[in-house]
Amino acid sequence: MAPSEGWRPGAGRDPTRVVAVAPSERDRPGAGRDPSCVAIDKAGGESRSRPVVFRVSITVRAVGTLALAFVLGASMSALAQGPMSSGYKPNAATSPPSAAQPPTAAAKDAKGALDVNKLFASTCGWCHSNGGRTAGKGPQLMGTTLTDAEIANRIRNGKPGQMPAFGSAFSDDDIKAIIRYIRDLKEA
Amino acid sequence: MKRSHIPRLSRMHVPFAVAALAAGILVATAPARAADIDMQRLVDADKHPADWLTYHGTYKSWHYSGLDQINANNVKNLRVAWMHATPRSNRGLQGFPLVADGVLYYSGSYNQLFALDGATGNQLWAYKQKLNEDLVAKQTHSPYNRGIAIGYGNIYMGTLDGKLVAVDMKTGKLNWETKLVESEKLTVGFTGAPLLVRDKVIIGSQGGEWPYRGPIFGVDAKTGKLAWTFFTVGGNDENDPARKTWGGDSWKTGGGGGWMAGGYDPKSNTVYWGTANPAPLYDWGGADWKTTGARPGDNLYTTSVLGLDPDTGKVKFYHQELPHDAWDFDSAVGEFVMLEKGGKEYIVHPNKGGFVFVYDRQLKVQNVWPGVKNINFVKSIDPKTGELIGRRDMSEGKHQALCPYIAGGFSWNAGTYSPTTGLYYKVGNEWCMDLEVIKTTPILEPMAQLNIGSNFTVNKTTPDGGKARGHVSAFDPFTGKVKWEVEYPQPPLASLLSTKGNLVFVPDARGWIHALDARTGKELWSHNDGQGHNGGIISYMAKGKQYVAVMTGWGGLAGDDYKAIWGEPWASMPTDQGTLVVFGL
Repeated sequence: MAPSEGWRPGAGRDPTRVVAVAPSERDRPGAGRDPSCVAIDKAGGESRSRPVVFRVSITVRAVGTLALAFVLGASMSALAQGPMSSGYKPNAATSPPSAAQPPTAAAKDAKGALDVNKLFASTCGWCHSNGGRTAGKGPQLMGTTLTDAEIANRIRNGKPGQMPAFGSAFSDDDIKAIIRYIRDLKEA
Repeated sequence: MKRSHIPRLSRMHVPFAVAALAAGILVATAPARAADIDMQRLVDADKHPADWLTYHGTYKSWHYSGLDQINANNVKNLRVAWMHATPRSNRGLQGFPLVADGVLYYSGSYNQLFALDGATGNQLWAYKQKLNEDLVAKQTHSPYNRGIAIGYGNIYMGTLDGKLVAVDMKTGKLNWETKLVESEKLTVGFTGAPLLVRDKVIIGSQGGEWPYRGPIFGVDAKTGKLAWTFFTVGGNDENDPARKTWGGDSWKTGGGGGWMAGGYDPKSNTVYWGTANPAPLYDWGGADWKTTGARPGDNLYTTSVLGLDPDTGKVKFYHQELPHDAWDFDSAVGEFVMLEKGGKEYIVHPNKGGFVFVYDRQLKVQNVWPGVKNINFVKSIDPKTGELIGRRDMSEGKHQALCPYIAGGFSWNAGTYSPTTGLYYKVGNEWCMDLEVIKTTPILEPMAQLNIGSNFTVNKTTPDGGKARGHVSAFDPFTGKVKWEVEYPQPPLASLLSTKGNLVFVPDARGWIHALDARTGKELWSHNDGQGHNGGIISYMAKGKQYVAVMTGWGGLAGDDYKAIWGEPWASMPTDQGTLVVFGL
């Protein structure tokens, strides 16, 4: 084992190796770490008083399209300020208007419905393997004997310690699209 | 706080042996010592093996007990001394208990805390955090807790909904809580243990597949005031060179994070911390990842090991173990095993992909060796430089038998180093996966969702002709040479413990805890704890007697796969139970 004296991979590697960098939203230097923006409370005595906490809201908004050559369609990203942000609220429209759908919501297909295949590849596939065709962390969805109402209920309410509750993430139409996708599942 | 009449040991100039005897006596008569856990006790933790004061045992991360009352000769007589059942144990008990002065503290799911008499298991107090339960119901990597820190009279714990809390060690009452992460929007909070270093509590949020920027926080240990934040994705501002390693806006949803407690070197005042993978996990850019795809560039500081200044949170030095990690093989495991050899100092750190990195204390690569057989995400890693050779980058479409599986060649369960044998014992996982890489976009509304980037399935066999399986190997930590290896049909997901009594304890996935001879791997004792293990194991003394305490309880995310791969008993194993089981002679 030969120690590599005086050379460190992290130091030698050129961090500017990326060739194509799309013009991006300037980060606001001041919108950073104000350590005094969280209030803490020392609860003395027997009873536990509710501490006062400053909730700094994160402002998420649409930004311009990524100018990467091989991105299909209009894909966008959002500016998510850190929790210690000073609360700076950026102006609404400094970037070109995006497509009709909110850019940071779950992807839609060509017909404007929820793209469930993409949703599985983003999120559901964590537990429902192979697009839902195979049992994994979660049960196999292909060929399920659950009724539409049971599936909808499970998606909305989850199962404690096993599946999250997605009720606030999906509309009724979204859930219909997911059920349609599940019913259509066939061996890959 | 009442002052104890018993002088603090640190002020007494006595030989260690007498001090240890005095400590044994003091345990029974001086509960006021519980307030005296300060940095000196943490730095000297290995000199006082009756305690287990920090997640990894000591700042050196050996997961080793210097006790030998229980040893290879008498372990066959080990039996259950007491147990503690934990309510609401969804996804089992995944944390490490801590012991100070004969009192055992541990955390359970939904941020519950318990203080127990270490000799009898009698409960001294219980604490239940008031959580945003509506939020917790929406989380995936939840509701478990992986551990706590103690010091300055407090138990420190990160909550599922993004707070760091300090609970009084003596009374179990909340001293303060500080909101650090807007979990209501980002969905994630904390599951990992914090680390107490000098006057700061350091904790890293969940990140990885979550589309945010993986902050690590330094909080004042006495007041709870936030002192610093370090964003593992792209650094803290646009001037950080790390920012340029993310094409376009991909840094804004880059994942990262540092969700396990790391280590600390008091001599240089350096905190060592591992960072998690970037998001999405699988990048459709494939081999053209430098210029195209979901996140072009090296993606600093994801999948890296960092040397941080605990006072400021600034990065002193780092090494990125996997530049442009395209496989979810993060460096977040907090084992920074601090060793010395030939008058030189080293750090040994396992990466989830199955390689072990050997560094000097400035994180310069000294060697890299594989700890598992089934690896093909790279052909190799240059042992002198850490350069990845023969990367397997995957563009959109189907791919077969990527090794290891997303659960890792090594998972987050800790290995153990024994100074008695000089060996590093570690669980290795042999399993692979098929996947279809699919282009995804980050979902942030109405709340952040996972951004994986593929549909995948675990394989029941491995390309080397075997089955998916695991092993406990005894390695030379510097070279990776295997002294002995014990195979397990299912990879154990719990951490290991080695002791001065020449024992290595392996709590397995089926529910059996094994005591192996540390020198040979021979099994000397075992016990069926009733359900699989997916958490920590420690040894400590209370009232002059040595105990081994192990967490039980199944249903963690990696364990969730076992029913599909192996069927029973995992198909019928509870995933909402947890019991702390404590053994003695």
